[in-house]
Amino acid sequence: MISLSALLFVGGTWWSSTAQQSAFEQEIVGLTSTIVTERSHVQTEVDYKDAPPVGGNHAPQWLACNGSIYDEPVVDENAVHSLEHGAVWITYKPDLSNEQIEALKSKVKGYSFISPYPEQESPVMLTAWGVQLSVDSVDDERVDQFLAKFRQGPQTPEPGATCNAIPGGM
Amino acid sequence: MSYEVIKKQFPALLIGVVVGAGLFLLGQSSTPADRPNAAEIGFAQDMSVHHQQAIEMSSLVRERTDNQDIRAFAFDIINTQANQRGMMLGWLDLWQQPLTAPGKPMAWMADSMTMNAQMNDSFTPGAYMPGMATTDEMDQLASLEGIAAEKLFLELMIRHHKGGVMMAAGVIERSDNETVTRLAQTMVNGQQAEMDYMNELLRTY
Repeated sequence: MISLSALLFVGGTWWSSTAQQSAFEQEIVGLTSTIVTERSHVQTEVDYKDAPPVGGNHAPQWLACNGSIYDEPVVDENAVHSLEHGAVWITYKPDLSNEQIEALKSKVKGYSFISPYPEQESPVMLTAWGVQLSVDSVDDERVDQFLAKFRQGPQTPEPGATCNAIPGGM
Repeated sequence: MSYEVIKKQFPALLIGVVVGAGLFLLGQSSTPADRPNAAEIGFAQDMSVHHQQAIEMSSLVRERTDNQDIRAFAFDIINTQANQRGMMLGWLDLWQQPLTAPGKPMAWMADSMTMNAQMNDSFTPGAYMPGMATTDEMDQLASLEGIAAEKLFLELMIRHHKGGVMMAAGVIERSDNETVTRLAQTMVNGQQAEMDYMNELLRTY
């Protein structure tokens, strides 16, 4: 009888330990984290200290961020609202090669959006609320890691908020 | 094993299987998510109802005004709160608990005298839970148009959020389940920020 109990116990333990490791637990080398304290809706321009910004006060209107591709720079105050909704914002320096830009665009699916960002320092940057990563190329494996972890990531201030465009426009 | 031996050892066999099955379940359910307490269950059930009314109020106001700021804000609430309801109903499903509370609303917060006092303050007579609008108030919102509808919507939603924040804070005090407390904390912060925005909007009339 003891052996039967032991067998079932070992089986149960094995079962729970085989659960898949969560993308939330993945460590990403070089990630910078910021604790964002302000998140009010404001109608004015906001002085963000990061380029691109990682969070803070923002416009009442969010940018569509459901796999949305912007070929021109977007307004920071709208983009930050999309970060609040759980989006990953992929940005690149406008002089990045077309090949790299196209490869980045192909990664933009739900809860993410892409735009050029002339003022940024690195060729490619990924930003979600409170977190940011700089890479030199789309081929860096951390690009996929970041997308897996932070599209609707655990640090999202408004879980469940939508990335769909506002009906009727902004 | 002969039939006689099985018959004689049956109680021991039964105990062995029951203990074994128990240990199997113990080995399997080792995270807090699998063992909800009464407050976590009550919060998920009641907050789902609470969120549902916010969705209804927001849907009503979207049909009753052309003000794009209000319409965008209401659209935001509809999506966020509908998805958050889905998260909470999903927990209940995994916990194998009823999605609708079988007992009285807010029973899970009735254990504290201070909370009782707070709850009585924010309960509107005739309302179902803290901050919720009464049927009469919902009917009134449905009867108004334009600015009158916008203002009543903002007033009702501010009160609604105030009650929601209190409920979310209540479960944070009573839970150590990270999934529950994380969502509840985003409700406290998010609804507080939205109250500030709604007060700002109200001042523009």
